[in-house]
Amino acid sequence: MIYFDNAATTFPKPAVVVEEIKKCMQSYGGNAGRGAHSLSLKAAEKVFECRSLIAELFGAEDADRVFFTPNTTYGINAVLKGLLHDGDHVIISDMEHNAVLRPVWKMANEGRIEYDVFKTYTGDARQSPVRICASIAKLLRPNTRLVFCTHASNICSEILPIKEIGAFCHKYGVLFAVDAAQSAGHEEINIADMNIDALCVPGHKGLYGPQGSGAVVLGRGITLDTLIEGGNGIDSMMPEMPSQAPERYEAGTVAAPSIAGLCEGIKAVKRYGIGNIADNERRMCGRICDILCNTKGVSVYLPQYTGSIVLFNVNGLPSEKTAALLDGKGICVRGGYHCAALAHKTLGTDDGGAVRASLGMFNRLPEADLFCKAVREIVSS
Amino acid sequence: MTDRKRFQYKNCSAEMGTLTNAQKAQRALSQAAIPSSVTKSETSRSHRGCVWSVNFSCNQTENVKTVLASAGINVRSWGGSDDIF
Repeated sequence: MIYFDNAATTFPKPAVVVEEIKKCMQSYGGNAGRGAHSLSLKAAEKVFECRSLIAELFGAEDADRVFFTPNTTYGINAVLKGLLHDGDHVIISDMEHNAVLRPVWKMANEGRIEYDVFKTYTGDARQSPVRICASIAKLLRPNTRLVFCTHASNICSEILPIKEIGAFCHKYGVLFAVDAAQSAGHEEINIADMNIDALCVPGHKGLYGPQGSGAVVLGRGITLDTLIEGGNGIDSMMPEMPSQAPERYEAGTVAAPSIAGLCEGIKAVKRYGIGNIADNERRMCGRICDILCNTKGVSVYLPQYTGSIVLFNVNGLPSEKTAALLDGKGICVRGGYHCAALAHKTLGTDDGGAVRASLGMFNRLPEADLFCKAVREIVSS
Repeated sequence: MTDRKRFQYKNCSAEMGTLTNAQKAQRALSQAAIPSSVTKSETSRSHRGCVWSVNFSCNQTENVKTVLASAGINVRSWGGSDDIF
């Protein structure tokens, strides 16, 4: 089996991840942050270790700048709804996932906020950080509070210049938040250097943790309104949520086994090296693009961007049919729209979507060759 | 045991609020070679309910204050173990 759906969730996970989850559930499965008995404290130590690792990985000021979420979408909602107030204006990119578009659209539809979409000039040969920032500048208003954009697209290998966008936002006194669902673990990210006020990351993608893990990394001095309220193990006699982060944002039991697995996933990524992972993915991505671009009957979208994703269609076949045929050959890819309406409209693939092959740390070049061979067989049949 | 020795081994505590803050404090103290433990009290002095603290030997109080201040870690309140537990 060839697994090329790593943008949805990475598979397989490193053995150490599986082992740590098992160990947590068998030997230190207390409720972290609640009781003060040994099992609870041991679980809490692991949670703190993971917090500290994430803070270090993304250049956060300290471990208390990191709060855990079940996934990136939850984190994005926490940031959007925690930062935006009635009457605010937010600017998002034309490459956003529905995780950003849908909460923004809902708040706007309720009349609470307003939003605009800036151009990323994806696929345009004249695309540059200056042009992208200029497209944001045109949309700025006195009540613009936030720019929210993806770092790496979930449908192609485009990487947006978030360092330049972050510097632009801070120059104009606008907060900057980033959806790093496809870049965390694939690209180096430092929130201080990149002027990022809130970074939303998944645990189960490029950081190789289990599903059910994710985090938000907050910049210095950033405080959010809470998305949900409830018990968090402190100030239990008070009706209001405590102001201290990160527990302020973690109502309810944190998923200690998932976080324990994530902790080991991050260590595995650090051992292998984010740069090495990216280089390996780019090599395979480039190879696939080269072969498929020279295959008659196949359309490859934006082959000029090489990263971890190849987006293509077999001409005349619905994307989901192609994905199903590849599945029949033991290859896992995803067809359709990938929950990214804005991005597919931007790429012009909104009529039927496309097939996405997304690579990961455990894929190797021979798999890329077998994948291309399988696509060619589908074309010729 | 003299009164002085008894005083040296008495536990003091720094009430930190959140568990994460208490863990940060413990890590900073550990790096300064000051032994400490993270503990929880269900009844803080302010009667706000559960609160996390770090416990340490009272004869280290001044060192603890210096270490936590230089690490930028806020302490809600200070106390001897008898005051809190």
